Amino acid sequence: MNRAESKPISVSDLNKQIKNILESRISRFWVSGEISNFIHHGSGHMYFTLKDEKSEIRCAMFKGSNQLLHFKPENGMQILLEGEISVYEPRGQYQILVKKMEPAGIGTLYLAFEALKKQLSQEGLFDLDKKQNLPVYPKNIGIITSKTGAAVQDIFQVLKRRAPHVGIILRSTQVQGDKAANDIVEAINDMIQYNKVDVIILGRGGGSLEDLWPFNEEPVARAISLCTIPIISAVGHETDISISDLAADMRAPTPSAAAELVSPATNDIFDNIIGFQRNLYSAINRDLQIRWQSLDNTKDRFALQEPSKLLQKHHDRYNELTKLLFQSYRFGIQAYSAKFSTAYEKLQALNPTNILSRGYSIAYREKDQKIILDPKDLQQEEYFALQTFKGILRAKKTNEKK
Amino acid sequence: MTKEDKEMQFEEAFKRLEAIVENLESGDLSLEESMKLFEEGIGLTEACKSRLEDAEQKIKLLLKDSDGKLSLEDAD
Repeated sequence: MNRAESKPISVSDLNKQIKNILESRISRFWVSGEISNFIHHGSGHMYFTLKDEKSEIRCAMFKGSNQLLHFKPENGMQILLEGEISVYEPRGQYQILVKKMEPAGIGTLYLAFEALKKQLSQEGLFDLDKKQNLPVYPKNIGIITSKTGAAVQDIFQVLKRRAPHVGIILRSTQVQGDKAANDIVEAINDMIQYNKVDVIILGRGGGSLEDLWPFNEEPVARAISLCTIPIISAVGHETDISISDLAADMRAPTPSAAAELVSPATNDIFDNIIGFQRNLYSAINRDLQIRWQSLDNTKDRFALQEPSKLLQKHHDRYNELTKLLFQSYRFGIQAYSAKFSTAYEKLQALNPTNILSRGYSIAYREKDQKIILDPKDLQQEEYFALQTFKGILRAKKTNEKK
Repeated sequence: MTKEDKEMQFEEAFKRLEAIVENLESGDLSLEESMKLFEEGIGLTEACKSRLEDAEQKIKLLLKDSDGKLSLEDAD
């Protein structure tokens, strides 16, 4: 270059050009290296040198940025930082203006997670004996998540399929960002205060560790642990484990899985009900059979042939039995129905058990089993038998009543 | 079947049903008592069934007004 052809520029201009080029050409970047010459200045700003084996660069992290750090930088520490190039014109020096910084290899959020986990675990917040059981047949299920998120739709879908008889109460919250943790804590307390749900699903769909962060915050963990309603936590995907998961009464790998866990399938409940009906029929059937047997015995013993007019009064009871018969047909339990019809006919023929069950008794002589129709049939001081509904009494004639 | 019975939760209903079956099986009842229990049991199972069959899921939103008062609102 010919000196005469080019007009010299000032140092200031040169540095200005360098600044313009560097700051515009090199956009925001991540860089890793080792910290040295670390100074945390009284003003709150941090200054240090970032170096590797061959080279080094000056760095500044201002107070506004370094307040958000989850760890304390030290000399010799390997770190990963995000920043941009900044040129200080008065000194002709360039440096990295650091925006974010974390220990290399191991994220800061991870460190914070581990620290909180350790602390709460030592306090006993995750103890198994503090876990509440989930209700087997919840009537209302509470959901705490964002009403616009993916999780809520997943949960609705499962509950609609598996347990449409269960009511759903949704308390919508923010599930990411600075305000989410407080919102979640409030939502848990609202659910407790409103006192309508038997179990709570707390969660959100998948996201980055930062997105899921509110579920790793201490106030959320404490609110979960203090919650008197059983909580099932479902945060992110199967591989994401959160502090919420550990504090909750149960962890589900996903929101859909949480919905499956809290809802007994309609089919299972149905089977249960049918089982009860079967037991009821078999119990009543056995019960009636026993009565008929005792009836047979009575009949054999006394050879009661003559149906009393009293029996007409018992038609109500037969009507009841007829109703039972119809019911059993309706429920499709044919086997029982068949037994009922035979039994019903039998009862038609042999009504005396009803008389006995109402408190009437039959007296008969011991010597010849003859039924006593007249006190004179017995001698004074003669023993006789009294057939009651449930058994036979031995009795003695003492004072003849006039 | 009263409204209260219909509102009975499955858990309570099943507990009652267990007690009824047990009672029927004990054989200590009068015919009248047996019938009454049996009918109560069948009524309960029918109520449970219809709760399952007629169910249309109700989704409500829990809202809080500026005074901190909580209320439920139908979800869209």
